[in-house]
Amino acid sequence: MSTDSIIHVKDLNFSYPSVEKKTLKNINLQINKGEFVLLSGTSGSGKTTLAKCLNGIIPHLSDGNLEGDIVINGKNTQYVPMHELSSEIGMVFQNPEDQIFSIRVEDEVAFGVECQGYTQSEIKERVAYGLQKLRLEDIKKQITFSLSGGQKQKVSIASNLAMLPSILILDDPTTDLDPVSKQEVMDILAELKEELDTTFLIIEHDLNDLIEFIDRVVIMHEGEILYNGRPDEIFNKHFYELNQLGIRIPDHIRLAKYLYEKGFTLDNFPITKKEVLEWIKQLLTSKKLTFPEQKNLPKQDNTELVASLQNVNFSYNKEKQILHDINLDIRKGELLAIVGHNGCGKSTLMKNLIGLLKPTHGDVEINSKNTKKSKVQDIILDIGYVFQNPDNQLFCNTVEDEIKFGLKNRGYAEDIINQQLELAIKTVGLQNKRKEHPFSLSRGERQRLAVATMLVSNPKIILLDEPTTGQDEQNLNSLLSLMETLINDNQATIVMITHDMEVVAQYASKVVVIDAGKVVMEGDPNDVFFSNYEKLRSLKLKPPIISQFSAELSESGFPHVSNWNKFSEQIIKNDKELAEESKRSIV
Amino acid sequence: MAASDFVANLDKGTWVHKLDPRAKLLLIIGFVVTPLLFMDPLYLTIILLIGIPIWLSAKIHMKSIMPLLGTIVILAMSAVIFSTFYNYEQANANVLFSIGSLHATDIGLYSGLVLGYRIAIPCFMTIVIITTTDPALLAKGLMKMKVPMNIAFMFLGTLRFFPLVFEELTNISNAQTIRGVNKKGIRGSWNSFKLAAFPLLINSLRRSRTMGLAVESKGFSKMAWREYYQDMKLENKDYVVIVLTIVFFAGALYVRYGLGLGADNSFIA
Repeated sequence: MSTDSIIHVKDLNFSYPSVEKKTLKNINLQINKGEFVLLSGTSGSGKTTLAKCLNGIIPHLSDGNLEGDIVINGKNTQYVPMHELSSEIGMVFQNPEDQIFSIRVEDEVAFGVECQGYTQSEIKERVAYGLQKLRLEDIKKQITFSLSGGQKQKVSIASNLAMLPSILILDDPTTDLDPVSKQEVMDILAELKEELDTTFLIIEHDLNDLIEFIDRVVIMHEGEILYNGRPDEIFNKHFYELNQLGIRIPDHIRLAKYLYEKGFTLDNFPITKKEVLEWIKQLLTSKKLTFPEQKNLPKQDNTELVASLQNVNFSYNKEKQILHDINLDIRKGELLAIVGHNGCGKSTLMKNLIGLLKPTHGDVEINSKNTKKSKVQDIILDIGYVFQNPDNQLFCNTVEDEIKFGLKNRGYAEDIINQQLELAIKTVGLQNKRKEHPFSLSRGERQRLAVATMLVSNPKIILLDEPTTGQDEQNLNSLLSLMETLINDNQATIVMITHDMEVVAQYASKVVVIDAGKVVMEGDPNDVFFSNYEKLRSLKLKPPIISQFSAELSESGFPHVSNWNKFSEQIIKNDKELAEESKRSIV
Repeated sequence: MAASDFVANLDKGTWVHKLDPRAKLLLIIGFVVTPLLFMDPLYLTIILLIGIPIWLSAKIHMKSIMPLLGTIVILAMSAVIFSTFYNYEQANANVLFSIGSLHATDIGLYSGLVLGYRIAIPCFMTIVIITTTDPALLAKGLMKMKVPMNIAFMFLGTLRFFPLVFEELTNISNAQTIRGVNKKGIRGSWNSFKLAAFPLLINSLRRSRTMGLAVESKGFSKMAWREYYQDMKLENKDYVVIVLTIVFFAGALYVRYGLGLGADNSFIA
């Protein structure tokens, strides 16, 4: 054990009660003081369980069979009480809503310090330190309910830092946040890394910004540590394996790997966007690298309107107008993404669309029904709505009953209900789970069940409310692929609220950007991201990295693409200089 | 009811808001216990009237607490109505009016009023205190009054959790509308509630588990609280309120037991 070692895990194995399979297997890990370590891996690979072992939640608050040793700053977590570890190791959880205990910001920051039994002057000093480090002085008196997701996460980090821990673990701290909040948290983490000698261990899926300031990356899969090393080493040497595992490799790393495969090299594998951007720019300018000219593919022209909003204005009260003069056409077979940061009016727009809210001025027509003249119950007959949290829309005791539920409520005949049940259950692939309780399914399965519950009524329009929140990569991709199938096979129309610009770039056929209740951009994602890159950034909506490269390097000959899939389809797959095996591994 | 409605009254700077939580807690106890001394609606009305200036001076934003107020009024009115029609079988009971076989009696009405007041007065006064006090301060006030830490924080946790449960309930209710659940009428409401109970329970348990872990990760179980972030010192206005509350309670005791007033129904007697 090195003298600098602050976390030392030796031969750790762990299994949860009544689960035969080990959640953690033979974990050996050493982290040094002041390191900033990224813990990444597939869903269910044991990352969160490892974090809980490190801060003592396992075994002190969660049962299971734990073997091996975990030593934190000289203390073996199994033999010291949880509260003794709390001053050594702090933990920030995924959902900011569920971890803030106090009503006011400063009280939350003070909470942990008060728990430790310090004097008032020490408490005040540490609270001031926590608030100052996270730049929260101006909002210290604010009520925590009123904060944005990012501010809440910053409060959680401050409340941990005020306890002056040697180690801070952040378990997926940005998954539930909108892009603005995500950026806020990432920026502050980058600053904290420079300012403090605290050791950071962060579990995160979105590596786009994080990869630039981590010292080390640890990749887990099925309870084991697969790779552990410097990011440039890991992402260069194990790129294909990571790609196959489904790790979200940032676009600029993919681009760098593509160039390496083509035979271009640098002294060190580049890890920052700036490095890759400048490298490509230099290659393009010197004509060492060229991209073929793109053919403009003819765009599909679906003329049938399924919904239209005309001059829609909406306000809950006279003082504050939420939507301003929204004009929007939604056409059959479209996958329309409505994007914008929290509070911009996306959800209000969606509620107006299906008649849950009526416009104060203007009209909404959906499936040939004007929402002002029709009852919500009649409008929603042709609409499927998949909620952000599937658990809010599941009410029955078996998967079968759940799928039948909506049709039964609407008085359909038993034979029609059974026929529709079979179709829907097959579409979402839950045939083998039909007698199981909905809440015994995994999160991804519950999401698919939620989709099945609305598929039974053959909806013409399907609405997805923030499908990316709280979802891992695999579940999200399977949900959105299912939506693509529904568009192709059933000619369904999908309207999706999201703030994940990569999802928009990959799946949407049209994007509408909302800001302060107004439509500020509209069109094909490829065009919108390319032509409005700077404006999107000013709205704190970050298009995929590849579209940043596209916008900044188009004059040098970089292709006009908005997402990695398009780049793969148009460039990599058609690259005659690249071996077939390399092509398969990169895309 | 949005999460922010629960704390909409916290940020006003009236003297009620500025009171130390211990003075407020004593005030609540005063208004909980005193109505129990009297059986006469007249005296209970006086107690309610004494509480009204405190209500008014707290400048409470009514819209945000309307659902709570409504529930209390419904509870109190139900007590009055149920009691009015209850068959007391007392010889001196006068029938005021009848609806079919149900007879409203004067004794029933006055008993109902007593019960209604005993529900409404403590609830109204508790609302004014809870809506104007930061729950963390209230919990710390309880701890200063030697209430065990676990109980004080259970109280704080419950208050913190209310808005989350309400939000969850709103989402579930929207999902029910979209899935065609009939929520009309008493039967529909009951059905809707039955369907919501399980998902609500599961979601709330999940969230409370995370909150529990977050709190434990900050060393809550050390139970080492000695001093607090806030200055929790009683000031002159707190002493005034404490003294007035004691005088109010002592006065009530004197009226009830010293003068022997308010034990019976002055209207009927």
